[in-house]
Formats: sequence, C-alpha cells, structure tokens
Amino acid sequence: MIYTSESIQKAINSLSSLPTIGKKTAQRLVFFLLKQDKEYVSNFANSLVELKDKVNFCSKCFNFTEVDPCPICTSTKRDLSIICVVEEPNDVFAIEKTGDYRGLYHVLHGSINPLDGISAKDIKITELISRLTNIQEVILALNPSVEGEVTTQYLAKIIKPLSIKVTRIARGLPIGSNLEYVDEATISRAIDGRIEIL
Amino acid sequence: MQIKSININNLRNHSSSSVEFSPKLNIIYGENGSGKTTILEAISICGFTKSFLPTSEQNMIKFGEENFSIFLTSKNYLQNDYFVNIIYSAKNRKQIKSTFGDNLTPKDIIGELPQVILSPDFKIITFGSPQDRRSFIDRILSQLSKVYYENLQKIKKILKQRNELLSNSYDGYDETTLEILTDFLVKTSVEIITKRAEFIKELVPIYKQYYEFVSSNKENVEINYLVSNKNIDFSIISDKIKLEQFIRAEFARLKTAELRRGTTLFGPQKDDIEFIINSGTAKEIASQGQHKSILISLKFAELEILKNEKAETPIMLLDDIFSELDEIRSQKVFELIDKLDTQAFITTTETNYLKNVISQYKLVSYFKVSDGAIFTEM
Ligand SMILES: [Zn+2]
Repeated sequence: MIYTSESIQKAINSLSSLPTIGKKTAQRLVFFLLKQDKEYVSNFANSLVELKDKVNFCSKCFNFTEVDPCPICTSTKRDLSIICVVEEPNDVFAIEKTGDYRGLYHVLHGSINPLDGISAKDIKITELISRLTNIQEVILALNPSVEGEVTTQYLAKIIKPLSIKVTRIARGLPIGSNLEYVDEATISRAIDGRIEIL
Repeated sequence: MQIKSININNLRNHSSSSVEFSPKLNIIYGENGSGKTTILEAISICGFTKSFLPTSEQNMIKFGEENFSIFLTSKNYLQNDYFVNIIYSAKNRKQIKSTFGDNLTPKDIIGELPQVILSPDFKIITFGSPQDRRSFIDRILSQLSKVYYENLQKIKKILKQRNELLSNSYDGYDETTLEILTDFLVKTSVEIITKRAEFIKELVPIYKQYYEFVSSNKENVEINYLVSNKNIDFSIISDKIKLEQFIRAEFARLKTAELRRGTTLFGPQKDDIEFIINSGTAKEIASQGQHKSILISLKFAELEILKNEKAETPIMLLDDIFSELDEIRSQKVFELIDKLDTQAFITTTETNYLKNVISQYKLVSYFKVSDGAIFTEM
C-alpha cells in the first residue's frame, strides 16, 4: 500500500517494528493517533523518550530502575540474606506481583545459550557472585527450557562451594487441577521435584 | 478408536470435503493425484499434528489459499466423543484444538487418536537409513508416552547446544557448560535408550507371530536394538544405573575426539534397529516379498502393542499397499484387520481386485475421490 503521507508511512514502519505488531495493526494505531488531539500525542511520544532517558539498570541487581540502586535493593523491609535469580526483568515483575517473596533479586539478562553465542561470561554471573557476601540462600528461578536448566546447574556448581544454600523453584502441578487430568509428563516432573513433609 | 467424520478445507487439492466413515472398512479410491492419500494425511495430522509423508505444512495449503483446516470427530472404546481441530496458516503458528481445550501444543494431542500407518514409503524401515528406523520407533513410543515425547524434544535441543559448543571449541570453551550439557545428554539418553530397548523386547515375540502368519515360509526373524552400532547386552540397556555408567564411560573415552571433530559422537541419535532374517540383515539378504512380510508384520505388531498399552484399538491407515501385494498377502492383511477389529482406511487406484478379496466382510464403505472432491458410493 502507498500512503499519501510520508509521515504516515514512517509511523507505520516504527510501530510495526515492535514485537507482535503487524502492518495492519500498525496502520490502525496510526489512524487512531491521527484522530487524537495534539496533547495526547505529545504525551505519548514523551513517555517513550523518557523511558530511554530515565530508566537504567540497577548497578546491584540489574533490574530496570530510575534511581540507582533500585528501590528493592535499598528497601529496609526486605530480607537482605536471600537473592532470587531470574533471566529477565519481566520475571521480577511476575514474582513481585505475587507479593509473597520478600528477598532481593538478581537479573542475569539471559541464559547460557551456545547457539546464540551467549556463554556464562556474557550474562551477569560474575556480578551475582560478587554480591554473595552475607547471603544465606540463593533461589534459582530460571525458565524450564534446556538453556534455563543449563544455567541453573551452572550457578549451582559455582555457588554451592561457597557454603550458601542453593534452591530452585518447584515445577509442579497447576493448582486446582485434578491429578487424573494432568498429563504424565507434568506429573513425572512433579514427582522428580517432590519435597519431604516436615 | 473410531473416526466418525472428517472435514477438510484447503488441504492440497481439497477445497472443502466432508465425509462420514464406516466403523470398519473404508475404501478410498481414485486415480493418482486425485487427492485420496490427502484424506489419510488429514487423519495423520489430527493424530500427530504432522503428515506421515515428508512434506512441509506450507506446501500442503491449497494453491492460492492462506490456510488449511481439518476437523475430525471420533469416539473411543468407552463411547466418549473426541474431536480435533487443526488450522495451519503460513503466518500464524499451528492452532490446535481438541475436546481437551483450545490453544493446545502437539504434546496434548499426540497419542489421543492412536493410529498405525502402512504405506509403501515405509519400506525405508528395512531399506533406509538408521534415521528412518529411529523415526519408526519414536513415532510409536511418542504415542505411548508423553514423557518419551518430551525427552525426544529435549535431547534435540541439548544436542544442538552441545554441538554448537563443540564446533567452536577450538576458540576456547567453557568446561563447566560442556560438563553440564554432557550430563543432561547422558540422563536423557538413558531414558530414551531404555524405553526403546524395552519396546523392542516387547515387540519381537508379537512380530514373530505375525511374520509366521503373513509369510508362507518359515524364516527365522529377529530385531536387535543397536546402541551406536553395537549390540549391547539387554541386561545393561534395560538397567538405568548400568546404562548410565556405560554412557558416561563412552563420553569420557570420546572427549578428545568430540572436541577435535566438533560434534557429539555418541547417543540415541546414533542408534539403529537391525532386522534379521535367517542369519543376515534384511537390508542385505531379504527378497522383495520378505521385505513386505516384515513391514506388514511389524505394523500389526505395532497395532497390537498400542492396543495393549492404551486399552484402545488404534485405527489403521493403509496407503496404496495392495497394488504391491499378491492375493495371499492381501487376504492375510484383511484377516488381521478383521481379527484385531480395527477401523481401517484404505486407499487404492483400483477397486475390482479389492472387492473380490473383501467380499465376505461387512460394514464396507466406498468413497470415490476425484479432483479433490469425495463422493460416497451408495
Ligand atoms: Zn537493584
């Protein structure tokens, strides 16, 4: 399709470069924006520019933050002896939403993935190790993919010799599911990850 | 298992076909290229999410269309209804729905519509490469166990990562990462190899019985599972602890060679199944007729094992096999279909010959296929 305005074409190209947004959706969004008043559009554009200007990585946990160190790392209400290790900042949001976890985080920004040319030194592992003084437990909350598993084992191998407790999140049955209807691969993983009742 | 009906839209040369099937014998006839095999492919896609023919989904979409879809209804031996709906478009991921829900993954439907396929293309099981024989066994075990299917997917990913690491190792590599990947590979290999070895052990006596029935001669037949080309004692490959020790020792022995060659040199991705007839391998010494007897016996043994394990009789898809079989073997195939009480879907170019062979059977439906349209014969 050829547009009568180069600006429209440019805006469509920008929007459709975003993940999950196709050309058709981008076109719809652009026509929506054209119908809004100028203030709406400037606020919208500024919020994007501010994002890049103000948001940075926390120098301790490598989560996104506007102040360094981030509010979680400096909070007085959190348990400073536990670190939960995740692959991406998204994962911090997911765990924070539960409101149950009160320790610290560490974002690796990826997992060990030779196919993508990512080795242990390319993710924030050294930075994690340097934070471990006074830490009593490291919880590994990586994805259940082969890459996440390799990274989990890797971290366990280097952290355990430091006499720090290393745990991983359980992969079990979905709550509310009836055992009879859960596929056997999930049940088998849940049995592998069984815990003793104390 | 009994398929009640199928709707096929924009699959190969079918625009919109809809059929209701007989609970027993379904004879689908038409000229080559008419679209009769497509009906079997559609059933296979509903069972495995993939066709049994080596082809990309992209190429299966009818020319000029954006997607194909299949809707299949069936009932199991408890008379419970089960449906599958598969939609494939080049742009989106494959959409899988079934009685169990929307947005399903292949794992959710594989094994739910158990099926055994007999096609002349499967002579690759005895004639072809070790890869062809592994696919044969993997396809059966994936229907039997979701854990096995997951392990297969997992080992593919582990091998990719490990081979990548090995192939760049001349540049320096991380020893810990290699150790971990090797450990994963060992553990997943143990699961896959023991499962395959146990399956072969269960298969052999059943296969022998069918072979004796199908072939007029009394050759001695055998099947061996070969771990990286070696016939290893069953007491090792069936014992997970012993097998793990054995595999770990192999990787230790091969380490230098793997680093030099830049690839994984051991594992179930290198295993093979050996078909023995009298004192040689089928690949080398079997006659054409013996190859056919082996394939037929193997497929009925497969059906019997699936039936025993799943308490559900699989359906049988026979793609144009009768043009290649003599009358005695053809009759035996129908006797077995009848005895095992399976619903069968048979494609053929010529019906007069079949009508003779199956004159005594009841519940036979005939479907004529022409230019991607299906006509039910009254
Ligand atoms: Zn922080």
